[in-house]
Amino acid sequence: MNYLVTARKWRPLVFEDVIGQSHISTTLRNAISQNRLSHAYLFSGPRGVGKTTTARILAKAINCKSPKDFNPDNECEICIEVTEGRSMDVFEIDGASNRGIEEIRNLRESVKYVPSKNKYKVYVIDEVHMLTKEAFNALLKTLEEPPPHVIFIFATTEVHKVPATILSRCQRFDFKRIAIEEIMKHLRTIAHADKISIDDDALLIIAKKGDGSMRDAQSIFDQVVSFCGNEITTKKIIEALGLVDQELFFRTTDLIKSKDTKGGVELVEEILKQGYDIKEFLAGLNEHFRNLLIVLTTESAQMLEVSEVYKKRYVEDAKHFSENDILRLVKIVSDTETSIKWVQQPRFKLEVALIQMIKMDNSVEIGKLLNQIEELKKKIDSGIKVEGKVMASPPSFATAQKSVTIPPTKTSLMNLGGYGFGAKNFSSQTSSVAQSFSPSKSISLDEAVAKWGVIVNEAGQNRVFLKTILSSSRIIDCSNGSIKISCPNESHLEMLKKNRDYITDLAQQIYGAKVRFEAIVDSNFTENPVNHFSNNKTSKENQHPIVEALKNQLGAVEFNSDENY
Amino acid sequence: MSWDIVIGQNRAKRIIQKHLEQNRLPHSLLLYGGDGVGKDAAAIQIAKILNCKTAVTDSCDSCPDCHKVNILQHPNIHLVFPLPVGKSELSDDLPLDKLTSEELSQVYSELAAKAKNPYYEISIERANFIKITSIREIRKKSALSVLSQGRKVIIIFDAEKMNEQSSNALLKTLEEPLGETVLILTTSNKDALLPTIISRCQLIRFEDLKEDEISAALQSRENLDEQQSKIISRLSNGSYTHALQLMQTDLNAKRNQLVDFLAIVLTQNPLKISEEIEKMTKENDRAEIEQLLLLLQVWFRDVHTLSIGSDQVLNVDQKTRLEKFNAIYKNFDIYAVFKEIEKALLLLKKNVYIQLIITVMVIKIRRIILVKN
Repeated sequence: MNYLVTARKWRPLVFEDVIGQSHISTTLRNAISQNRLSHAYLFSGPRGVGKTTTARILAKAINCKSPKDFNPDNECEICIEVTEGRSMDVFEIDGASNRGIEEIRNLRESVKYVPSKNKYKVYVIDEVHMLTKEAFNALLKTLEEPPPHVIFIFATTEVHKVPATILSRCQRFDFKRIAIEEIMKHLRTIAHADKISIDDDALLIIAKKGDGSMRDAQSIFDQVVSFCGNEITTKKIIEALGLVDQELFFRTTDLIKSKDTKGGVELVEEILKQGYDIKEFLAGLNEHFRNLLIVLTTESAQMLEVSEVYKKRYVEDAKHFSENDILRLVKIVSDTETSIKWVQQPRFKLEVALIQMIKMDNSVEIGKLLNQIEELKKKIDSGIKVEGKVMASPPSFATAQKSVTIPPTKTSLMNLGGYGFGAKNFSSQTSSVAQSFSPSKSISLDEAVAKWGVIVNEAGQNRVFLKTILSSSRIIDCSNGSIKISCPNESHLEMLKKNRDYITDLAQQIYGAKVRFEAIVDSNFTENPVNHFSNNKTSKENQHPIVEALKNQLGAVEFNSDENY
Repeated sequence: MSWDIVIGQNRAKRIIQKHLEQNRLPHSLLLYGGDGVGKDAAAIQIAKILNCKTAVTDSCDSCPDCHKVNILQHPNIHLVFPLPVGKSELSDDLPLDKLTSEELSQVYSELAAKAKNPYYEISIERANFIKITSIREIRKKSALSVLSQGRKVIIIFDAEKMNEQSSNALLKTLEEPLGETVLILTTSNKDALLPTIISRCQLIRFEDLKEDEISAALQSRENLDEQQSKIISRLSNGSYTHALQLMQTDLNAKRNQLVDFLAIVLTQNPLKISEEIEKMTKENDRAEIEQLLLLLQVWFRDVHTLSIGSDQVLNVDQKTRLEKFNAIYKNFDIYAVFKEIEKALLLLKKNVYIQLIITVMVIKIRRIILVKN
């Protein structure tokens, strides 16, 4: 006989052999024994867990001439016909190829006729989710009340694509993913029967790769068997399946520990030289970090699905990382994993990701960070109080005023190429202002900048040319009740001089305190003055340390309006 | 010819040969791996071996059967690939029935090119997916009896191009094909296949080709000189098909043009930059722009590699320029630059106005680099 793949050769023939679905086989057998068969069943579940197989067994079991304990005997004429797919009364229809309304109409026609020699006519529609909407609807009436001799069995991997009206007319069975131990156990039986020797570590690798599907595991098993012959070892499997060597993952964590970026680039080079799949490397790396995380959270290596040799190393390695570090690493890896599918040069993506991981700073726990923020807050609060006290004391205010009126200040400003204006005015009005406004009020730089726009606008109301001039000037300093502004050229300075009384009055109204203006010409003047300060806040250099910390440590992303295109 | 036609891939070859040797070849194989690494070549080779009268693990390449496979005309071998949808095509038409004569002649000339060089990438106008009629035809073909000795082999190139209907229609055949049929699927994007398809096949992964393998193949097959073939193999990303495409463009000129462009972007005023962008987008079509962006990515990747003290650069011949660049521009956020180029590449695929994409990308890169310099 010709070679048959394991999945076909070992296709179960009785209910008990369907691995990991005992909840379904028991129910079905009981239904047969109590003669409570439904006229329509829907089997759903992931690939390779036994849906089609169960459908075939059920079709045989209810028609079999001499059932054994409600299982088909697989020996009688009817059973053999079904197994070979030539039965007149059991139809296995490929729902994906025969998906139109025409095919369903034909089916409805044939439903009417009684079975030729079986008890029941069984229609198995595989991949039923691919029927068109019209086809489904054409089936509804027949499905609700079929003739007594008809049983429908639908099988699908995508039950969400089946209309609710179909679902409600069927008895639904959800097939489960098969546990790793059960796959291992079954493969061991197969290996034993085929006289193949295989160790448990090797079985574990195959079962894990099967990802909950028996057929996947069996395909991998086939591949391994033909590659290795009858002696299967872990080392050979790794070669046969092109699995990424576990050592590489430990090397990655070592690189992260030692912050060796150069080693990162070399590692990528090696991965490619060895011919490993980058996606598989990333998937493996993700699992590696997950293992570390499990060791960290459970403080033991018991729950890991790895061989004993590695468990110790995980416990050892986990000491060097905190949970937060691992979570951030996992985030980088899984982000890379999803985006690498669409990238044309995956090599660079991997290099960048690895280097990001290696360069990553150790994380600070958010609790600590919050404490730091609290402390900072306290410091700021107390700092303001101290400043406020100093400012609030009347004698110092007076001295400040006095110093303002002292002529040397003026000359020094002149020396700098600047020009102090409003000084005379300021001193003459001091007494009245000090009475009408709280003398303790002092203007901070932030406040001065914040209200500058108001002054500019207000000035523009009465003297239009001033708006232009003021808006092209910018505040460069503010202390002791005097505001220093810079303007682009001499002519602007002239205009400011001419209007100093007006500006000073205006500023007094708006700031609520007496201010003195000093103006200088700034030859390097380029930026838009009004936006000067506000711009600076978003640019990177002036970023608040907390924002910086949020970004670096927690992977926060800044919302930027120009990003949204 | 024989297995030598497949460059490198020793692991995959060994697996397949072991299957053949023990007569354990599964009925459905899925060969997956990057673009142009030799999956199609291997699929054709398997088909040849299965139909060669004397062969077990390698073809004799002297019998008439082998010859017929070589020109892709063997009656036992059926090829499936994306085809255009004909005018008023019905669901029971054969896939080629409703195509115009021009389309048909294009199909045949593409097939002839593929026969000549299995690394050739079949591309037919308006052929975006594998039609469900092509899949239905498989079932009919595999039901026919085998002509001469040998086994029926159905090869589905670019299996990821099957749309939802086609993929699902293949499932039953793939699980239990009629007779002795062998189905071989090739794909460069395994993740785009249905999990139900993948689960029914035995997977054989084809790795990206190594640089020396590509450069050796370029030298022996295309008579390229050593220096040139080395550079191309570095930039080919492990794909022989890509290397062949690169061979046809004047790579050196392109790379120089690109670096000049970058210099203008970083040093000149916006007016000059926009002129340059306009020039660039006028001179190059979408595919060429894409290539330029990929080269730009390679360039920045090299900048990055040099800056962290490694000398594994890909632009081997431009090392001095790279070092100069690194000396002038330091400490900028290179990951952000990568992100911008990736974004541009993605938008390019989505048919966004090219000039706009390039302008936005250039402005952002300029900002990212100059903020720190």
